[in-house]
Amino acid sequence: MIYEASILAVVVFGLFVAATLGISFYLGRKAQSSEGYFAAHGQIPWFVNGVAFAGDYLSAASFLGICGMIAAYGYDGFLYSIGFLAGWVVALFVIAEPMKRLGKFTFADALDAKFQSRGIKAAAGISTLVVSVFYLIPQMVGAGALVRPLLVWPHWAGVVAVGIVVILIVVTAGMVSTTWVQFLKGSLLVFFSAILVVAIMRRGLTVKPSMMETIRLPVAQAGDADAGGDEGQTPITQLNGRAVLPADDGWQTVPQYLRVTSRQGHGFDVFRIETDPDGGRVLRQAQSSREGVAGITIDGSPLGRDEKQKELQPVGSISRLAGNARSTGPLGPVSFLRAISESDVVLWRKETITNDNGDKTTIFYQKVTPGSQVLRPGEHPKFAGIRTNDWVGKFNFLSLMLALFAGTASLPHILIRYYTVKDAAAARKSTIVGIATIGGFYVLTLYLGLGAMVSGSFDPTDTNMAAPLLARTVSPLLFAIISAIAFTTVLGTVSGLILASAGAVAHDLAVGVFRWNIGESAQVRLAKLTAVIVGVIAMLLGILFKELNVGYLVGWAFSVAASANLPALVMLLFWPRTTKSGIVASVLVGMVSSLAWILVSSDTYEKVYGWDPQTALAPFSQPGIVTIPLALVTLVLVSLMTPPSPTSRST
Amino acid sequence: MPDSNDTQPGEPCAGTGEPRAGTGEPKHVPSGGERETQEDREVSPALEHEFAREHESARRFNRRVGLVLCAVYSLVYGGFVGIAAFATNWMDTIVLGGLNLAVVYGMVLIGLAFLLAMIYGLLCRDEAEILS
Repeated sequence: MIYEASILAVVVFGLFVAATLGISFYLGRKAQSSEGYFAAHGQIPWFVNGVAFAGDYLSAASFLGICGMIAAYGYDGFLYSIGFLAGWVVALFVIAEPMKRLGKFTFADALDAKFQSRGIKAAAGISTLVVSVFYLIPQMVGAGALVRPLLVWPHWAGVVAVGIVVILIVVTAGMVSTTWVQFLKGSLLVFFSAILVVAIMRRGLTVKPSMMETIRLPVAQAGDADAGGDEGQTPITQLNGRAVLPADDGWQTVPQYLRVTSRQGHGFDVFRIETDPDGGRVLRQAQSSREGVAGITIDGSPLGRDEKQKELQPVGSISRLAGNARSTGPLGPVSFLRAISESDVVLWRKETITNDNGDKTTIFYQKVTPGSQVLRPGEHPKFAGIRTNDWVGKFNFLSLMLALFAGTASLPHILIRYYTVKDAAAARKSTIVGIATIGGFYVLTLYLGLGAMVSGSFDPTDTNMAAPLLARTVSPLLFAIISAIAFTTVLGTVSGLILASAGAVAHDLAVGVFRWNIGESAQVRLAKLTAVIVGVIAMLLGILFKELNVGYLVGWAFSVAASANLPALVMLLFWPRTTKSGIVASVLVGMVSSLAWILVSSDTYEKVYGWDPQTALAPFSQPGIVTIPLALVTLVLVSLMTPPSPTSRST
Repeated sequence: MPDSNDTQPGEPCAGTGEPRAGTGEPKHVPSGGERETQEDREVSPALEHEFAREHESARRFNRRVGLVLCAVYSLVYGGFVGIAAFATNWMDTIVLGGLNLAVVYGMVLIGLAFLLAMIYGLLCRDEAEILS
């Protein structure tokens, strides 16, 4: 799709960024000490901290990734919403109050409260850095995806813009400004998402004439003229007066597609041939995008909007409503979901062919799907294994859901928010506010995703843009606001992540491990320098990994966090025999094993290295189900093999 | 589980004025120069010990409530994940208001998280209230 810059969107976007930076510079004077810089002096009101939890947690993955996955595949994206929220239950019931009591600035403080060990500080500090950088990747990818339609900048420019703004936020006022930016973002995100959902429901569902052609060949004709390449059938030589192009230049490998001369007089039209239940055939128009040395062509014509140029059309529609109605009228929360489940929805899938000169052509094709299938798990390729007898697929699913459940309470940038309130009771109350805000938002994601699925605005090349493009179908102003909020969403989360990284380096590693004798102001300066370096690294990774769905990337970050941090934290709280060696071993084994697993998984082979995923060493992509227990067992064994430290309590 | 008389690792012995773990901050001891508030009234060692005991009791109670509620939610969440993985077709069953089990169970999980959080908030004993 080709995006055009909207003046309104640019103005709203500029206002949001200006407000965000204004808050940071205004609050900068309150963050001169390390207490102020890392923990906002513990003076943040619990309600503000609760909403800031939402602002910190509802990242690009939640807003862009989940909505995009639901828009493309249906219910499977909602599994992330369920898992992400479930993790907060662990955070509230098990972690919140002890975390506040034990620590000061960082996750390592809490983990090391009992032992005062440099080893624990080193392991926890490195783990914080690794998890934060891993989590930063999807945020930066989301940032790049956002500015493309908003400002019509290339992906890299969006990543760099976010990087620069976030570095300014973190460098000026640390946790104070980060908290208020997150509070602002959390409030606006939930409020305007709710407005968008209300607008979708009031609009209801409508069967609109499709811009894509659908041609039905009668059974009689199908018997003697088939272009599908099926054995024993005669190829079609023309289709409604249009000549069929020869299946060459890589197209011979996909005989289910037919190319015919275009009605526009340039390029070609592509059709996918499907068989009807009655034996006839249906030709549904598809779209193709070829990328290579000569640039991008869409259905054989150069990409563009001038004469003799083409662009990919936005997609996503309802092809049939219950009772063959044309429109439902306004709907409620339950009737909206019921109407979807009783309809037929046109989803879009893609496959890639290689042309003779090595170019890659991606074919996007329609897949008419019953709504009842849209609203059930197991349709996304990553989750399809649960609908088969394939145990690898089932383990992959279980592993992801375990990582989401255990990961939230292990994310360093979330845990450091517990130090910004005055006491354990405030930590508890703010978590409850966080659960209410985050839970409310996750309910909305299902409606936003499904709304985008049938809005006719979905960009098949970029699932991450589903929610902002949905807003554009309601009003240009809402599109501008939602896009600007989404951008602020990235700012809020990235600020928290970079702050957590800065704390790990300046507080845990420099002071705790290397014993640098530096004063508070020097510690804050070091943290700011770290923020700049981590910000630059995040920008580079955001550009490098731009092709991956942000939701799936976050699943990996949760796996690493849950494997490295949660077993150590929980056992420290509940198993008196835990030793410092056990904690160090558990953190390192959890972190290294989960990272190694991801690096040799099929997804990384395919999307990062460009290798054959079938040759991947890891049997499934999500490591949590193996690496979380592994870290736990490591802690138990090492603790039993090492003498209890003097401060260890007897059982 | 830790013995009931144990303090948490790194936790201050309430009432002793020992630093909090990691914070380096002493517990607040009212000085003569400060304007004395109701909270700042001097307390006898016996009363201070009573506070410490109540504190620890509140902490243990909160932790127990948290663990029970966490176990309840884990069971319900585990049921959802288990059905999705091993009895996936059950998720297609229409169970309420024309909606299938997947949608209803998913919404129940989100609602239950909030409900249990509220119950936890209501049941928990506030250490600050004990002091006051």
